[in-house]
Amino acid sequence: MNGILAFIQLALTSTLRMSLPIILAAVGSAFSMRVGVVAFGCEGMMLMGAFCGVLGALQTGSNIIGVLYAIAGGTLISLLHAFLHVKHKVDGTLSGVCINLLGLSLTELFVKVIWDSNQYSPAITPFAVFSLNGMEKIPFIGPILASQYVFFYITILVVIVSHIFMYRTKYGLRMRMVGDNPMAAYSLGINTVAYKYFGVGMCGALSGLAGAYLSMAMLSCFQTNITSGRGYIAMVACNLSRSTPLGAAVSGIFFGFFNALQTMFQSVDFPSQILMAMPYVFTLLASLVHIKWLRGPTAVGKHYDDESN
Amino acid sequence: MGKLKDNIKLMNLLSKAGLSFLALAVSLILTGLFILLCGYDPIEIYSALFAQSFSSRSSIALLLSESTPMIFAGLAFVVGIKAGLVNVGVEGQMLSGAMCAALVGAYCSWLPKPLMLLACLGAGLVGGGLTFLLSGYLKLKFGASEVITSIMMNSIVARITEWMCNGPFKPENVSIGQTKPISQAAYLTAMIPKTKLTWAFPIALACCVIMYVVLEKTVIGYEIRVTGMNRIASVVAGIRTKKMYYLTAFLAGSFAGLGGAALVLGIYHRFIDGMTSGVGFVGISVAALAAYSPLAVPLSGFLFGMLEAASTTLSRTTQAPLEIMDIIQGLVVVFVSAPHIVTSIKDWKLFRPIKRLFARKERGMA
Repeated sequence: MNGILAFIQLALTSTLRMSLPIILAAVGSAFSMRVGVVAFGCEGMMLMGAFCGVLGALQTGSNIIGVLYAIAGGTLISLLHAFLHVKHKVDGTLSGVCINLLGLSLTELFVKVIWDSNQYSPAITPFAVFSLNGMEKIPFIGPILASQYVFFYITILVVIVSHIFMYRTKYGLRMRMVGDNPMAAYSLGINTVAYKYFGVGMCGALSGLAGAYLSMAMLSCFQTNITSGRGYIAMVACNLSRSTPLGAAVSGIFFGFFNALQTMFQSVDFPSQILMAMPYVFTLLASLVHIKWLRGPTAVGKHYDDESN
Repeated sequence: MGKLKDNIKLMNLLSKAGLSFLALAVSLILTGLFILLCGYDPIEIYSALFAQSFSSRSSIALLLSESTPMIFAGLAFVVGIKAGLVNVGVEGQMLSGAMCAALVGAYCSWLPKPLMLLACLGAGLVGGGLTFLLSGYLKLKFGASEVITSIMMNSIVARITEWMCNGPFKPENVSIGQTKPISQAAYLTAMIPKTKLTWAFPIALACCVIMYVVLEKTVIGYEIRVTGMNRIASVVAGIRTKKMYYLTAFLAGSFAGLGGAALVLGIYHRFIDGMTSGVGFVGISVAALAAYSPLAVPLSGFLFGMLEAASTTLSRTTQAPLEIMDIIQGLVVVFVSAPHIVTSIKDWKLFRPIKRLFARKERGMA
């Protein structure tokens, strides 16, 4: 009995740990999708965030400043995405692919130039698990919560604040309008371009934060291609929930579970490569599902001055 | 009238070529700035790259052999995008094509010699084609974005092939994951003896020419292109768009698969874990630089092959970080797909005095 309980605890712990970066990036994608920009660049933004976080932590010796670096790095590269897509009308998918290519090659280059290494950065002091006094004494969920990082609470905050912003404030309403019908929004005097930049920038900031979690809490260094497709998984998670922050959190946990499978079953004699392919298989399957009763943005990829409008 | 039409065609071609050239030049200059920031001399590195590539017969052969998989990858992307399918899964398609070719080459040694090579190439073609056909099927049947599904297929195929060459198909006494060597009958032999340049290179060129003819000069090619331009209009015009999607998806994937098979049959003679090492993604840049025209793919593939080959050889002699060359791949896509950035350079304040000078001259002449 105790064994089963311990296994469930392990499963929940690693699921939560694995789902955090996906949730953060998926909420970011939701911001991007809600202003009508395809969130294809998540992967590159996460990589940039993961890199900048470690860079900041090594330069200043403070992990908190590192996280700020990560957010700044993710935002910076996301603004390039917005610049290409909003200003120059490049197809969102292609400019996302550009961002991912650039994110990968730039971080590879920086690792080589700054630390003279082919793959790894020097180690930093990673974030410690964050637990309040006596928290682990709560039955069952205590140990699960006590082995989470501070990012766990930040993520909860981000999800709730994003939901309130999108659905309970006038700015959120305007933002969603830009994604649903940019021409109507424009005719009401809403600055659609600014909103698009804001949405993509938020996507970059949150993806950067997700990247920082990967390199500064889950590992203690930057590693080239540390994200290994999590940006795309986050995008599918966002699509599955039709770009709603609360839904993104739920589907993020779903994907986190498949990412955690490998940790859970590492003692079982089963080819590890097949287990590692599982998250991608389920992401592929999930991209086939369309949930009818959630409403996503309707004008993704459109601008207010499109001729076809 | 015919002459006017030809002239317009030529103008279009020239402006496309000029744009690609400008995009490449701007990317090279920006990368040069990066090199400068890293504390090296960009001119020195560029000239060393160039000199290295053309220094001897074997280095030219190396250059051509490096560009072969890039041509295949670029063609795979170009063909897909003609029907509006963004094929970012070239990497996975290459791996599955390579695995199929390696398995047929290793385990079907009872086939007679000429059939052997054909069977291996065919296996690679079908393996790659089916991989992207799945993405096409999911797009039409479930409305799943082919970009997502093909990227997921990249990771899935990479893991599955990793498992195959580390588990069931791994021969004894080897450390790195690989399959049994293929039989000699299936080798793509060297075009120039004692170099790495194999007959895969002319196959790649032939594929580009064939695809140009099919896409530009046949009814099917026309229907594929119309489907890519406007799906609704092509349905109204009576084109069977679904069939076109399936056909294009299979074709695009099969070129990637051929590229993988060429790597196995020509260079490695077995499947090695992670053997494509990102060539599939360079295909996107190759296609963009070629302005998505099959005939220009060999040229731009040649260019990226040169960067690849030279930076591999140069990295042995210089300390400069040649990973920098990877940045060009991203930048080229940026500038080709956003031509406005490049063309707006001439409106910069810096150039205003020059433009004014020219304007005055023109007025004076009038």
